[in-house]
Amino acid sequence: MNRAGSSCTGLQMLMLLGATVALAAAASRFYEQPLPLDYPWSRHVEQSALETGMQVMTVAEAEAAVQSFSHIVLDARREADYLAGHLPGAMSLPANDVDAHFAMISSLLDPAMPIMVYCSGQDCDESLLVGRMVIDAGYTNVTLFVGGFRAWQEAGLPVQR
Amino acid sequence: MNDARPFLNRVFPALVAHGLRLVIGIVFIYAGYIKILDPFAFAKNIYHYQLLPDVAVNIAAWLLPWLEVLTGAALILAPRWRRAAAAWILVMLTVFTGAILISLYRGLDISCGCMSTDPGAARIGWRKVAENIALWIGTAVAFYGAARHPSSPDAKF
Repeated sequence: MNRAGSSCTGLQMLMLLGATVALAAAASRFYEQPLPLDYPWSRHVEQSALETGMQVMTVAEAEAAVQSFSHIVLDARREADYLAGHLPGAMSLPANDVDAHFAMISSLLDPAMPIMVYCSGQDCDESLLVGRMVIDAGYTNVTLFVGGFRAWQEAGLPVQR
Repeated sequence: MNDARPFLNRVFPALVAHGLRLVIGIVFIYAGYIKILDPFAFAKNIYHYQLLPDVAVNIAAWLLPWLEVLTGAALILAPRWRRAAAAWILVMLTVFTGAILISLYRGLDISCGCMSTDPGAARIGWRKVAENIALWIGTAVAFYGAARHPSSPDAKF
């Protein structure tokens, strides 16, 4: 392809991009909730947790909760990840198979005891899904450890295998 | 035997190019349509790759599905625009595959966000990389085939 052919294709690509912007702008008027362009994604999990009625905790607070046995700790990651290593005393309640696992562990849960739930890190939302399910099941005192397993490891805290 | 040459030399490659354009066009129209239905879920898919700053996540989620639909439709329906559509699809597939490879290297276990916005849908993996490479090769064939079309703006050059 020579230079003239390349520039013609390049011009058409720019025109397609312009048409894309126009279409997307026109279509956004038809959404009930248009996508906000300034959504704080890095705080998405934390913000959603607070809106759902969960509390959030830091690594230091999670460490204190684990050491004092003040919370039932739920690991929302996949079972294989849980088996590879988890927070001391945590029970597995994977978001991808939550119903079956919840049936197994629900008898061990005390509704009066606070629950702490976590997943792989700050970007995952499995803990959010599990937290919502636990709240729907009647456990109202649920706290999300936002930093998750990654923050726990980065803090050099002990991992149970 | 000579009678078969026009078929093998011209008709068969043209049929292959048409078939590839149809398949790739439908794949991109479907992929874009699914994301247009739930842009917030697609934005979340993009965020999980951890490659874009917050401000760019929703802009990508806002534009990419429409670019997929538009280029997919142009590839099938608009001979004069096929080359530009194929070029955009090649760019998108390159970026998508690069994002998957970076995420695999970083050990992220995330859903692809390719043909579904469901967080429980297919996870990224080497199979998805192979699918993208196959689509890339098919689009490249459509890209070079497009210039041969008599109505292509590049055909006269």
